Amino acid sequence: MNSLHLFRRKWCQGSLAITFMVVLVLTTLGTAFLYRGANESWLAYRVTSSSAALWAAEAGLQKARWEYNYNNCAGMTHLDGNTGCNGDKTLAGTLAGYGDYDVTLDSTNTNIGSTASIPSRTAAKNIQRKVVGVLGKPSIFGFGMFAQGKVTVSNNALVDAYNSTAGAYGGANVDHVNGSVGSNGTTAGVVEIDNNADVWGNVSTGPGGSVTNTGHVAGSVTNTNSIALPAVVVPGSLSGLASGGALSVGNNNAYTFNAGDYKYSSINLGNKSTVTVNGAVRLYLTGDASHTGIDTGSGQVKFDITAGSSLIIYTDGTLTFNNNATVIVASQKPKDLQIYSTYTGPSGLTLENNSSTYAAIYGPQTDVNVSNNAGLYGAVVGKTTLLNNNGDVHYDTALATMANPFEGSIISNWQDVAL
Amino acid sequence: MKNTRAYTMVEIVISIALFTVVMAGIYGALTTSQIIYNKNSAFMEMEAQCRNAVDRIVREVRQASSQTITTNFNSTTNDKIMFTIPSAIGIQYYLSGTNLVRRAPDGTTKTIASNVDRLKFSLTGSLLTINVRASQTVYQQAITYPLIAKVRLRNE
Repeated sequence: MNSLHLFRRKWCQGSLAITFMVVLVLTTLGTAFLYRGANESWLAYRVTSSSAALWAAEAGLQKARWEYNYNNCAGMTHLDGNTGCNGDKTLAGTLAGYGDYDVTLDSTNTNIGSTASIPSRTAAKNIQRKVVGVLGKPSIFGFGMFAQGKVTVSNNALVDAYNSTAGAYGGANVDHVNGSVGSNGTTAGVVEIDNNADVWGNVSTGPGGSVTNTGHVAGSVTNTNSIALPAVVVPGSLSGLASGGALSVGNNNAYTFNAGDYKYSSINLGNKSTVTVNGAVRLYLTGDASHTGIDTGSGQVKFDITAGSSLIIYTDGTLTFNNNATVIVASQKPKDLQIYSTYTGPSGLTLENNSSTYAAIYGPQTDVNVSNNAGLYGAVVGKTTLLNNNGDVHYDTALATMANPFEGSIISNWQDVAL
Repeated sequence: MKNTRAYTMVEIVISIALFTVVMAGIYGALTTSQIIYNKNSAFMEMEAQCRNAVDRIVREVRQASSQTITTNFNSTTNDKIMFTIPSAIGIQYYLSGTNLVRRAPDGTTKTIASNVDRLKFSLTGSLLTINVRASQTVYQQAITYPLIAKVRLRNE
């Protein structure tokens, strides 16, 4: 009996020791799991908060952009007593339940930065992200020729580049790198370079698009384009004018536009008539019954944009410069003749059989045809673009910095800055 | 008195047998736990590495534009991506063996994830899709962790 009792006692002691060991092991494992779990939880919180901070910072950036584009910065705090969008400005905001953002926009309205803090800017251990960018209006003329769809460069046509701010085209001011041609098109052969055509730059299409090339392309060929072509918006200060109806300039007659804004349905030009532009002129053509804005079909019409002058044409109808029309831009700068078309039918913008001219031409919803000319200095954007029969395009790289007139400022050079 | 101070042979044998059975059970449980723990740890480590690597790529490539990205999209092998951001030209990500490597513009390289056996990119407009898969064999059992991330390029 005593032996059995002793055995039970020893057995209990042994069991106790084993139980203690098991509890010890399980406690150690449990602690390790708890520690790891807490660590993972903290890491998850940091990752989640960091992601939230990024988007909160982005929200601040977009709010400040809206203030600049549409609210004359009225909702921003001015640091130096200025008003409107002048001077250095800040914008502080709170995203309820998420966190805070603080935005700065400098006096040039160029450099913008936004820092977001999660859960708040005053929290002791907040998670912050900062994004910065450059506020501006990107040019719609980033290529020598660009189209939403088909682009054709053929029959000895040439696309190269120069910089009009460095002087006239020629000599050292000929750029054999940036004369690029592009399309957003996504179909096979959407860009055609053929019959000895030369492209002194890159050629690009949209995803799935391809280039038919039997000519010469100096640069690369890529297929990733997705470039927004904003619709032409006629300024309210022009569309609100009373229309002068159809302006007719008789054979051998002359007409002068002095600086100012004008609105007509169309301009009918007689044989050998001359139109002179003196000063900064904006012209809005709503199109006549046959959707014509300007047609120089009578022949030998002369458009003369005098030194120091500029002409911006907005047209809802077709615009045709042909039959030996002469378009003189005295400054020899394409920015001084800008043509914007809202026309949605075919063949909306045509320049053919003319002497050379300087122009920036934009008609994203119609066909742009540049053919049989001595040359076009500037850039061409259309729904489709055709460059044919020795029609050279000398892309003016200065147009790449010309502000887009149809959209508010956007943020480029966006950077996620380490804090 | 003697009987109270000693075990019989039978008692000792039974005790040892019981102790052995209990210890074997504990050892088995611990070994199984250890295997599960190691597998989970390996999986979590793989997941963490993949997520960190993809997060890093996303954070950088978001600052690029589709115009500045070059890669061997749609190739049958793993992809190599190269892109330019406002602060750096020519950042690269690619696989070297099973290491996911970042190559800085100055040529220095850094492994940002191991055990990666798939790295693919596809670009639709300004939407870049990153497809990464890590694989590892733990205790003769293959474990894989696939991760797909989509990033809208911010500088279009």
